[in-house]
Amino acid sequence: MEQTILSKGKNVREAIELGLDLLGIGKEEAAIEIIQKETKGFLQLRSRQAVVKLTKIKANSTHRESASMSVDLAVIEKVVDNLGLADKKVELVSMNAKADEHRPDEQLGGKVWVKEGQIYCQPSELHYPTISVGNGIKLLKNNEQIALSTIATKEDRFEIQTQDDSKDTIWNITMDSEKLNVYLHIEPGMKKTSKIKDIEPDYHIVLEAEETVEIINDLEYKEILQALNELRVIHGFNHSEIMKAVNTDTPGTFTIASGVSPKEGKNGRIELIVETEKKMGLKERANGTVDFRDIQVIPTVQKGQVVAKIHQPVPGIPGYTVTNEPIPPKQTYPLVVQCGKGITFLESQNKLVATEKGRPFFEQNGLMAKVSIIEKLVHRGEVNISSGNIRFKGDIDVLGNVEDGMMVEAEGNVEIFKNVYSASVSSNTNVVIRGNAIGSMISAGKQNIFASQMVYLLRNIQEEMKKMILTIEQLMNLPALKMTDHGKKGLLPLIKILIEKKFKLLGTSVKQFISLSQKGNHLLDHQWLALAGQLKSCFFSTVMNEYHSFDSMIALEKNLAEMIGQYAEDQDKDCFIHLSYALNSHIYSGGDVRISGQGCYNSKIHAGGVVDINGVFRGGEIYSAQGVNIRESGSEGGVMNKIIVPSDGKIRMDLAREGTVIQIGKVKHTFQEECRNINARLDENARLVF
Amino acid sequence: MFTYKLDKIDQSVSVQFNGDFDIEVSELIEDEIIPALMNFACVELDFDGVPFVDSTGIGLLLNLIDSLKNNQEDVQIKIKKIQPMVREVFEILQLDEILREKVYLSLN
Repeated sequence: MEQTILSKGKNVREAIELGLDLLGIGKEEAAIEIIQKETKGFLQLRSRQAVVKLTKIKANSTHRESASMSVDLAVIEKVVDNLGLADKKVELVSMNAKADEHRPDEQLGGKVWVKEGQIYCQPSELHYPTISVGNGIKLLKNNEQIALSTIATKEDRFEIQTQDDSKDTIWNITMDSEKLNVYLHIEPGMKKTSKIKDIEPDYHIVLEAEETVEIINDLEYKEILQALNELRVIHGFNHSEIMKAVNTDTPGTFTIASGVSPKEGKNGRIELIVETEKKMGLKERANGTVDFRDIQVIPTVQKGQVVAKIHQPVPGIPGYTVTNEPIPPKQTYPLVVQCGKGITFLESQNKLVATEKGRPFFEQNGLMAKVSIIEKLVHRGEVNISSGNIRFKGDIDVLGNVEDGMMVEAEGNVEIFKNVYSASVSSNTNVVIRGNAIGSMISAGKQNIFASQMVYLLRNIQEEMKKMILTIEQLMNLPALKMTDHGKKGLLPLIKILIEKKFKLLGTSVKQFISLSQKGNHLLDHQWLALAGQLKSCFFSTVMNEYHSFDSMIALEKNLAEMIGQYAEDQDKDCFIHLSYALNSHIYSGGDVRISGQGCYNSKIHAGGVVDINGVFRGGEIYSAQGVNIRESGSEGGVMNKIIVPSDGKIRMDLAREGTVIQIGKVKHTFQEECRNINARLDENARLVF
Repeated sequence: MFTYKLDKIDQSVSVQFNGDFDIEVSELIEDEIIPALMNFACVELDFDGVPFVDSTGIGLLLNLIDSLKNNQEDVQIKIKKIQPMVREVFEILQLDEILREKVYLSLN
């Protein structure tokens, strides 16, 4: 049986001593519980005695107690147990909040503190300490979680839980689609441990955890090799990168194996030995003047001269993938050389040799090259009724005048040494008139009137043909339409019906195209003529032919689209017209127009490039795609003068007289009085500025 | 097998076609039917028995109509009872001229 007494005293010590005396035992044999501590009142008014409860226990108890602390056996055991759990992920600390009697009461009254992961508190009569919970900490008070803060009393049971975290090393190996490189992506793992910080006694404490992060990269060299083996990578290991990946402590990607990429070869090519580009434009002399006689230098070749060398394709060198498969290089192709007039291909030497004298002409489109020699026709004298019109596939020089109603047409350059009177001069490239053009039509560039009309028609034809192909496709899917005649006649009967009824417009467009190509056959490229032939066979043949299948119709339509595209690119920018004086003339150039003499009167100029008028522009209209430079525009009488450029073009005039109208893009301006040094363009807000 | 039946009443004639209207019937149409239909004021073509056509067949039909009109300008031609599937072909080909309202009327 246990014997228990309550003992009172002036203070705790005295109460315990009195009690022990009464029981006649030593401190070791008693369980001591402090019921009430003594309080010092004012003049004994509020003072209370200390009360302790003493229980006599068996002498052989393993239980030892400190002088004035009563500790429950169970609690101690729990603490001991918890110490054994210290390395577990969640550290559990629990104890009854008890006063630490080693500290003087006066200092600790109303305070709380943390020591070695445990909460101690010493509430006072008038103040209970408070605890706030910081990040990463879970505080349980009597098994209830505390969200923000709480009050600590001696009876409370606190549990602190900290969140530990750990991540494994993540890695993977990828190979690119060409099997040229193998990449290792690694994110090293880590272990995060938290420990509650010790906190000095205070009225209010914030529980804080101290985090330690340890990076663990447990990727091993042989694991990588095994993964590579699984991918069948046997070639091009990069050992230093693998080592770097094994030792890295930051996430990253390493190229751990790489193959050899193939070395590309070269396609066949042509090397021109002679100059083919004209050097055009006037050369300025040292004294600032120019010589009109040296307007351009035209390259020429003699018979037997080597014009170009053809280089055969150089095959590439194959590469290897990381799995040791060969990667073939891109196929190389030879250059296809089309020998035009006056050129022979010397196969044994891979050289192009001129067989005639003339101007070399070179054109290349992808792997197709065309070289020809353009002959020069020199007409010594006037072009008039007795000489007849002159049409020539090469260059033409006319040493005299071109007279009333006559025509000079050339695929190459045209040069007129004297004047052109009420006549027409056209060239696919350049026109130079050393004299005057009066009442004449001068045109330069492939985009002649025929070609532009043909393209216009071709656009319609292509559009309609697309629709027709769709219709045919639709019809072929209908169950009631039999294909019994397909073998014998192909699509011919169907095309006939469609052209006759639904696609009448297509029929008329194709007819127009064909007749136009016949009319302009001497001016048009053979491509146009061939196309006209194909369209005719497809739509107007009475017997079945190769164009009457669905696939060939699609191919033809594609062909048309290509032709239209090609034309749009072919801007004739290198063409030019030079003349010294123009009166009542129409001038059309794919590129620049330069009037170097007195000026231009009552004429219409259309240029794809720049228009330069060194003299006076009086009466008429100028359109230029790139810009206009004029020394003097308009007259005192106020003749209508119109100058038009696109919105990005500029108009420069030294002197603009009354009546000059300029238009840039859609913005127009009319000069009411004389203005000097005008440099007109549009600003960012599409407003005209001078 | 393609067959046809002619019904003559005074100045009008009606033809019933039976079978596929295709390349096989070219000779029959050109050599027999067109001559037989000449010189009538009113011609009725009955397509009730025609389940399939091909493009040559349609060409033949157009040719037939043209021939009759060339021969006699004021001839009245009616096409009736076109099977819906066959009519679809006619519509896609936009052969509206030979599919006048009469065709629709006779269909209803």
